Amino acid sequence: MVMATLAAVALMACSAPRVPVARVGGPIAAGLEGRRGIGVAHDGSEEPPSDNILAAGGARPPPRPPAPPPRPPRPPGRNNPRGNENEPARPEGGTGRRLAGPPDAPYWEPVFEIPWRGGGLQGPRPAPPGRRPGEAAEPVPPASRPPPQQPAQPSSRPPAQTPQRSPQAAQELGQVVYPRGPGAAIGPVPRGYVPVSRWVNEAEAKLWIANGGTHIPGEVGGQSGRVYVTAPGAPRPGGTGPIRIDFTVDSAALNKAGKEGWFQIVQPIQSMPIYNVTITYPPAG
Amino acid sequence: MATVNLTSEFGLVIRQAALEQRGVSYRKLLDTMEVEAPLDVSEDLISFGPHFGLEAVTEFVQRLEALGLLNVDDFFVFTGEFPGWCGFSGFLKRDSETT
Repeated sequence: MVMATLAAVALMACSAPRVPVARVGGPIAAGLEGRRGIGVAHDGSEEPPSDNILAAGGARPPPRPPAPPPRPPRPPGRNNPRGNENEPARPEGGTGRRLAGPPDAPYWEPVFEIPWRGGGLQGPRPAPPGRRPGEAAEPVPPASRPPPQQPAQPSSRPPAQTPQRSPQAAQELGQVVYPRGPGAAIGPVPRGYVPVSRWVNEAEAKLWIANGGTHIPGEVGGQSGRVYVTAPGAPRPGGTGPIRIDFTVDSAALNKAGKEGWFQIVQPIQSMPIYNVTITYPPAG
Repeated sequence: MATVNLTSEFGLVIRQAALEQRGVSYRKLLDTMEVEAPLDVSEDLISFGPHFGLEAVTEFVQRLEALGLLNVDDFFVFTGEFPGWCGFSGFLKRDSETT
């Protein structure tokens, strides 16, 4: 009889459906405890999760996921001494993080999650080898675009320092030589600068090319110390060479000369820069 | 005594008698100096200028020498640092006036 009763009880325990048992503070707290990831350290001394699962309407609960593998034991002295039962309940809805404070402080701070729309979530780009940490990053050129072409238009101050053609070739072709590059032949000039022309022979033209068209060569004018120039468009004076040098010069350096449209510059005046220098060779023939 | 006006801006003064001696015509002289007319002329002297600096007047000196004229004896360059308010003129000294 006793054996029959025990067998019946055993059969009832195995076949009877699980009856949900709602223990306040038990399974709910354990569920929250399982979701919490910040500020709580789980150790091996924790109470194993309860088998009790709240189910609505008496429906059969879903199957439990397989148990996670056992955690390796933590070294002694690093376990969280706090008890799980003293952990305040986390407010429902949304994510959050625990405020810094006493371990038992019963308040949470909501955290608003802002969706990232700026690209991948790989974090900041690592600094290139040539850049120190904290230094401003250079704009990264697009990889798919071809390198930009150099503009064909001459700039106001191109870096070219060599003439485009040799004086001999320019003389044969009747071309214009730019001692500072073609871009330096045009562009703004300082206030008070005016364009002038000078007619020279080939020997003097070489002097202007040699100094890069930055100033009037000191050799020009010779012992007289006077450099004669004309207004732009003035006829070529007698006794001058066929090569015309056009440039801009400070009008304060111009003195009247013997004829209309002529001016003389008293040397030495190497400290006065000149701009927009072009040397025009006549066609050979 | 006839005088000619001079310019101190690299002016050139040529003795007329030297042209006859070197066989240089007046037209040839004007073509050499790239002008249609001189600055001033007298029965003894011809004045040219002003010229476009030392380089230009040096070129004319070389051209005159190429014609057979002698520098200083037949012509000379008149230039210097003079104020604009001062004018110059020249005349030919006769042998009796030469010191």
